Amino acid sequence: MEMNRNRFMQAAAAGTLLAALRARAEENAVLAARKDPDQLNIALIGAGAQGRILTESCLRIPGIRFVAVCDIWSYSQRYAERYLKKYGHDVAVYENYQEMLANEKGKLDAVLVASPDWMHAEHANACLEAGLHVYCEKEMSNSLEKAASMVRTARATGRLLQIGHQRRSNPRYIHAIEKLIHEEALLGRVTHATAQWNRAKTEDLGWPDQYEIDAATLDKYGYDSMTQFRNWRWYKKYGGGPIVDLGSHQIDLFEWVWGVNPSSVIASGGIDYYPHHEWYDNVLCIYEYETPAGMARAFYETLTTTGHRGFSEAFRGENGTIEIAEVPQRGNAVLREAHAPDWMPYVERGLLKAVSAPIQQSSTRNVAVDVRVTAEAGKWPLPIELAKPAHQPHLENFFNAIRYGTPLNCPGESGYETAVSVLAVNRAVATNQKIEFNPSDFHV
Amino acid sequence: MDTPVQHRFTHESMATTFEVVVAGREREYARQAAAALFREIDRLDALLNKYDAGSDIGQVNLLKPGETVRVAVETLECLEQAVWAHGATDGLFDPTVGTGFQWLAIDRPDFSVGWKAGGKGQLDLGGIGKGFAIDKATELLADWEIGEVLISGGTSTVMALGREWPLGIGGPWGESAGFSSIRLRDKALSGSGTEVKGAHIINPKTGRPACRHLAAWAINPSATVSDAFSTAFMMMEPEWIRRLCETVPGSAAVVVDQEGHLQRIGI
Repeated sequence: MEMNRNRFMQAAAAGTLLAALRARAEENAVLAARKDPDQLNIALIGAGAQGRILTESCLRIPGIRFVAVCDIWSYSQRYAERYLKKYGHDVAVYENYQEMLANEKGKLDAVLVASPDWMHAEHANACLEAGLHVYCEKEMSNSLEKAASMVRTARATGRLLQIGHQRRSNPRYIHAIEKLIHEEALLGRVTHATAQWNRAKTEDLGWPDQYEIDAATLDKYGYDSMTQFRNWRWYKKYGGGPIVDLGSHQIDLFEWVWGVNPSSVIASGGIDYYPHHEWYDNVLCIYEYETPAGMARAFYETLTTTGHRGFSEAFRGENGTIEIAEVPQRGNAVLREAHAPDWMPYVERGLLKAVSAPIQQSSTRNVAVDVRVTAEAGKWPLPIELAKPAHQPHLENFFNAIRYGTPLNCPGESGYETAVSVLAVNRAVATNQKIEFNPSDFHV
Repeated sequence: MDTPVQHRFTHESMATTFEVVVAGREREYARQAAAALFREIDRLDALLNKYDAGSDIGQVNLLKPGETVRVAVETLECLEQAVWAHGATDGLFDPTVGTGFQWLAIDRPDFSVGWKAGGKGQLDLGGIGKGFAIDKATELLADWEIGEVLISGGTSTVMALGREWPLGIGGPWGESAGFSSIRLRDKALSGSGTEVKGAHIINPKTGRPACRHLAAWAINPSATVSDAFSTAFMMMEPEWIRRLCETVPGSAAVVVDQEGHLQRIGI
């Protein structure tokens, strides 16, 4: 009947319209969620030790929501899923990153890549090509060609690529290097730098019996054994050794301080304590920097058999030295040379804290000069109020770049420059030769 | 002998020496498990260490009145237990050690901690952090399928798991009272006293060293609770301790009064 047919047509039309409206609403909701600068949806590839540190920092930043986690190890998957659940983030869990990208890329704004170094390029490039911004842990790669491919992919896709040299965003380091050294020239000409990251001896990492990955799965993802998977940093296929794992963070600072890349490096090191490892367990090296003010040299050491002096950096200039470390209690002061100009004006401007007084006057009565060891230079602390958890400001810089177009503090290009400087050390040790750099070596 | 082979491992963290004793497992596997426990303790130390300005507690201490900062879920959990212990001991256990507990602001849904607008104090989780770290490390044992284990934090808090472990208690006063060891299973024992560090426990209400007892021990299934309670028991009358032990399941105590008399409560 006509009536019925009309009603049927109307109902059908309404149904189509409704379905279309619903689809449109869902699409709008997805778009709104993606375009809402208050919430960014992210995924994590690599939920091991470093991935967990990044996760803990992201969870302190408002408006960051974890949508997915990818790791080839079920133990890490389980840890991350449970941990994020405590914060109310229900995540989809994947073993395979391609599957994760295929299913989740529409919901995602960005991906954190914290897999072993040798997989960084593959993971980061795939995410960039999927249209996602990437925060990738340092080192960019254990191969310069792979690191360069990441810079090219970021350029080609127009997506953001931040490399995890987190000191570049640390307010205390920005204050020390950009404010005090560059703007205020507090140290005068900085002629030298020293840095070290030393660790007490350690034995290999293990794994719970019930979470051992079967040989076929390990093989599928390129790992020769569970021992190598757990201790990948010691093996040439997967990582770059301690000079890359530890040294990279601090060698990166030398370029920041002097504004130029090194002109050469000499190094010594070896596999002298852990015979079953492939990478050098101790490395000592000296870089030369041809700065506009003249030659500057930096000494770096990383030891894995003694924890003496832990990790810290010292930037040494004609008027003083800044001692700094990522953990403030390990280094957070400027030492003044006796002939330096008065520093009280810096205290008055809030750039330094009041000095802890050096021994200046005779404390023994009735003597002209109290002869004793040279008075230690006074330590002028940096303002400690700038302290934050180590990785949080660098992640905030990355998310602000996505949200507001803030410049990245360590884009792929900068990460590549540091990778060139750092990976050369292993070559210098292997060949026992001085490595000379050309300025063009540092650019993709 | 019915005692299985035991493997001992030590690690420096939280300004003390942690020890893990594993029974009934092969040495290399036990070492790997102990290393995982120590890594967890180090992770918590990095959150709770008041001397590190970048730690959660360091950051909270730098905040002004009215300010808050986001912290890790573990920091919240530890603080919530500290607040509970503060209530249970009528303020004798105090995570701010008398500097301003009333100003502490914890916002669970926002994962943030800070100070109310009117004032601020200084957090110091030294009286509970080691116990909390031991409890969190204990959670990893199921992954490693290790049941019989002893975890100690600087010998002031010990968690005994999986079988009866003989533990020293009572100090020199215990020897003269004929009560110098106790067998515990799935419980933690914490001791506080004046003989190692001198009078280092401060009564938060008076700001003076606690001096009701020469020493106190607390037993509880949670190392966090035993750690906090042993600090508070130093300042509490035995009758009050007895009532508290009756209300909190699994609790017991030993105190030594100023005359050196040892008193057992609930054991």
